[in-house]
Amino acid sequence: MTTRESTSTLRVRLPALIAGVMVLSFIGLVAYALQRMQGTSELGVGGRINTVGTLVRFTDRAAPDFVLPDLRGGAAIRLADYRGRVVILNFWASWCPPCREEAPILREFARRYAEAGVVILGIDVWEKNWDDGRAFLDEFGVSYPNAYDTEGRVTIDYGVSGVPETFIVSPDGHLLGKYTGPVKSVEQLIGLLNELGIAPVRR
Amino acid sequence: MAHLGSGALILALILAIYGMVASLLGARRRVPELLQSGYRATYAVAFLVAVALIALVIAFVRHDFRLAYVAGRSSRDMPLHYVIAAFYGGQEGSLLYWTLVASGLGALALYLHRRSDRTLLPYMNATLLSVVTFLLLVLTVVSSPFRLLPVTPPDGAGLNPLLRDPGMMAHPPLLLSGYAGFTVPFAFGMAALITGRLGSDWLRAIRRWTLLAWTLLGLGLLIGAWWAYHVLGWGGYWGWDPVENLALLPWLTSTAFLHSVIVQERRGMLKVWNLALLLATFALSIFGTFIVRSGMLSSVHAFAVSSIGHWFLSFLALVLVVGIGLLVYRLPGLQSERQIESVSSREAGFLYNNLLLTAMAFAVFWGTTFPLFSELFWDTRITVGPPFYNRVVGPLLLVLLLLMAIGPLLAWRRTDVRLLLHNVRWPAMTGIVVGLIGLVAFSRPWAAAAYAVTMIAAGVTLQEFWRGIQARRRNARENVFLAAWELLRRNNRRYGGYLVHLAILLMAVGIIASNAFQLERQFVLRPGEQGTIGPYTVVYRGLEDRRMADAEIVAAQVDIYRGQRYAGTVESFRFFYRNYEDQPTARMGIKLVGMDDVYVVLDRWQDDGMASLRVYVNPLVIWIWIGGVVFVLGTLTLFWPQPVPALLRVPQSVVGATSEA
Amino acid sequence: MRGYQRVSRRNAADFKALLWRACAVLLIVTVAIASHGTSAVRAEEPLSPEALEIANQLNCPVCQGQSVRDSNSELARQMRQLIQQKLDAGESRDEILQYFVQRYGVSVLREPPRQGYLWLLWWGPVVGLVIGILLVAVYLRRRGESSSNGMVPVELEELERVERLLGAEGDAR
Repeated sequence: MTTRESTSTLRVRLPALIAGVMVLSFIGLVAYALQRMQGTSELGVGGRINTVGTLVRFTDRAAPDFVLPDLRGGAAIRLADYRGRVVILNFWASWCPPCREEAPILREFARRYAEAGVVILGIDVWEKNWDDGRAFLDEFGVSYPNAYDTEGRVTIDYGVSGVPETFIVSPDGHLLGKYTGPVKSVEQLIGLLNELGIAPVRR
Repeated sequence: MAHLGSGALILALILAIYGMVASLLGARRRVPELLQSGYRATYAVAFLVAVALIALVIAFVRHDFRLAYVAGRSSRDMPLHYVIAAFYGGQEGSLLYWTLVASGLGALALYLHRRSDRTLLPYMNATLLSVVTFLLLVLTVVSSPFRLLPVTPPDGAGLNPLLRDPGMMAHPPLLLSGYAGFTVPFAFGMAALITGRLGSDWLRAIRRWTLLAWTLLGLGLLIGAWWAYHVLGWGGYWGWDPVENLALLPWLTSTAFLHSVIVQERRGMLKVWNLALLLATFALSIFGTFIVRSGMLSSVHAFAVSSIGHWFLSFLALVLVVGIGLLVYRLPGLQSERQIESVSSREAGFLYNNLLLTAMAFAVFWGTTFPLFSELFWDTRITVGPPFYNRVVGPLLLVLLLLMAIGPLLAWRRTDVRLLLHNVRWPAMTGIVVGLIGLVAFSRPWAAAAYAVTMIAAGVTLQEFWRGIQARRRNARENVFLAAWELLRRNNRRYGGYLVHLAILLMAVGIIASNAFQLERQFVLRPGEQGTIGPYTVVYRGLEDRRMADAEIVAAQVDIYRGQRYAGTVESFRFFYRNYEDQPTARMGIKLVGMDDVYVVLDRWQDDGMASLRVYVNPLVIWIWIGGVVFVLGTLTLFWPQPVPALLRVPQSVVGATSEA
Repeated sequence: MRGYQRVSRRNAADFKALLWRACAVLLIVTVAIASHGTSAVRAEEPLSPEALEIANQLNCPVCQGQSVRDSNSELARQMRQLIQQKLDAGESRDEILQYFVQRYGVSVLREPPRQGYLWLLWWGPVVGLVIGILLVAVYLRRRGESSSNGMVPVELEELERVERLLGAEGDAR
């Protein structure tokens, strides 16, 4: 009699138990997602700011070529002119704090590896006033070439969704990878290049 | 003020814990004095939280920028009403407000039910206080609104510009009250489960409290829609934004509960289901807060992302474990007293209603949370936007409206199908005619079908009113108005419910039209130039710069003509608030011409006055707001005090369509 | 260094083309300098209804839950212009959407595509509804059977339950 009753109550309870287990495992998954979640970007004044970077690899993607005016008023800058060298394409904006942290590091890298077949190209984007971009270059004494993208064609062509974002282009004009966030040190940048199979050598 | 506030919160926390323990001990050991002291603890907690809240408001009004919360959300140049409203403009203040509503309504419930539901009250009190304890713990430990700054700034940062809108005065407090209000019915439900007193006495206690929270939440959603409509500039009022969706979910499940609870009251069925809905409603309101505060989903509401997500998630898990555990434990005692006899009975109708509402809630929940799992399992970020929801929820809504047409005509236990068809014949014919005309005139099959169904439902509802009025006129010899008044007064649950149905149908009229027949154009115009959209001509007159104490304003003036006839002038604004110059906000220029809203968005402009304008024509949107007014009237009717409890008057088994809902 | 040589050889061969390109660059530079400073509404084409519709299909990548049509951000403005230019150049709606998906990933679409695991998203609500219908059907059937077949002998267990419930109801009222 008791066994019969207990099986019958189990039968009554089973659907609810299953539903309960499903609900709780959902909560568990959400908790797991919350643990894994980390803020990698925030909304800034003129767009999104990438605060924590991740390296994204590309396979078999050609780097879209572009011709953009030089921010300092020099000759236009064209990506294809840099074929044969590794190009580090850095999208930045003057109002973005991580870009400010990153600028001296990129400058230092450009100085050290000028002869190693690696060039840095900066592209200024999403500015209200391009003079802000020029002031930024002066402030950090940036000497590597910097272009600016008024119509955003290149920015969109590369799928940039936040600043800073850095693309690495192989000597034959293919996209190797992108890093969606500020580079914290010269060594880290070299590490990123190494991961993509590039070993710049100081000469 | 800061010390008064934080002291009150700490005291409230201690009292809440004490009251919880006292209630539980008092109930187990049967010590009335202990129980009494537990109830008084709740009153004291409510009082102390109110003191803390008033202290916070005073700090805002006196611009006490020593408080980080005040300095971060207000400034001296803000108008007073926004300074006061700023107290719920952030996480800490809105949690404090939530705590006040939960403990205040809880205290009120304790007082009102002090004689009628004695066995439930101790456990109801304990549940309530455990929720309040959690909130107070968060407020004192991680997210205190009374945290002081090391240095007092001369002026505050000001409120987020998006929140400086008349909608701010009503939308957040109503929505939060709705969320918090579900604590009371949840506490009663848990008390019923703990005591095992699962008859229908607890239902009487909670139906009204659920109704209250449901009304507040519904109004909050509606005002949120109105806010979005005139501020966000997409020409719509509901963007299926994750946060909107999450606020809609408890409203959907509580709507389902308010319907199915009738079945339990009248026929003693669906007990498990009702408790599950109650639990789901409360859990969803916690879940919504958790998602908003953790910033897990990208949303236009992501103002304050913080670390208290973990707290809310843990609390949610606790609520669910205890709730589901108790439900499973009590399952054998929750079997139905009666059984459904026919698939065409009113109880079956309510079952279908619940099926549709929960399916809708599930669809919205699925779409809203899916991006989370997409990123977790497939490492792919996705966006689930309005097209998904329109496609998935739209058809369900259509069937729900159809059910709204048939439901009121169903009789308890069993419906005579011939009688049903007889009763539905006039509304159905009207609806079909309307649908056919719509189909021929506009060749939009979906919109035509939706209007046909809306028409049938409205016809049936009005017919029910008319019959009720006629019956009163015959029997009580009252004139039409008096009869209508008496009908609503004496039979408020049934006819108040029908009023809410009418409100939903009026909103449906606007929703269908603005989805199917919206026009949209973009113009780049110099002052004096014009553009045409549908039957309207807009003439752009130019820009005007203005100043307010806390903002600079750019206003674009646009004349609107319908054909050749001048219909009015609107101004579409951009606001540049001090400290937030780079986040301009907007207010749209909206002109009601006939039944069309002509809606002007100022996108960009140049110093010489050339501007890029987007113009929409949104037909019949006005009916959504008219429906909102009817919704308020309907819910007021529902709250009307009844002279004699309906349950005592109505005999146990009622046959026939005239029974009361 | 092989790539470099290849490029320079090609450049030498197409010297004329390079000259043309240099002219184009010069033009771009002048235009850019001319329009520099003011956020140029002037340079903006009015968007056709079709472009607006496409913009409304796209999620603004730098915003929180706004479409490209509704966002006021710089990137969204540029994307709107690009959509219009692509439409003017004769590209179809699908080609344009595809262009953005290739660059920004599938999250740029406000309506997730019906493919791969995303079928889960689309069919989830339907499956939920079907399960709901089945549950209701089972509930109604079970109730219907046990009440209509009044002649079927009542199981002992059932009888006990009814008695217990009657007792409970008696208490409650």
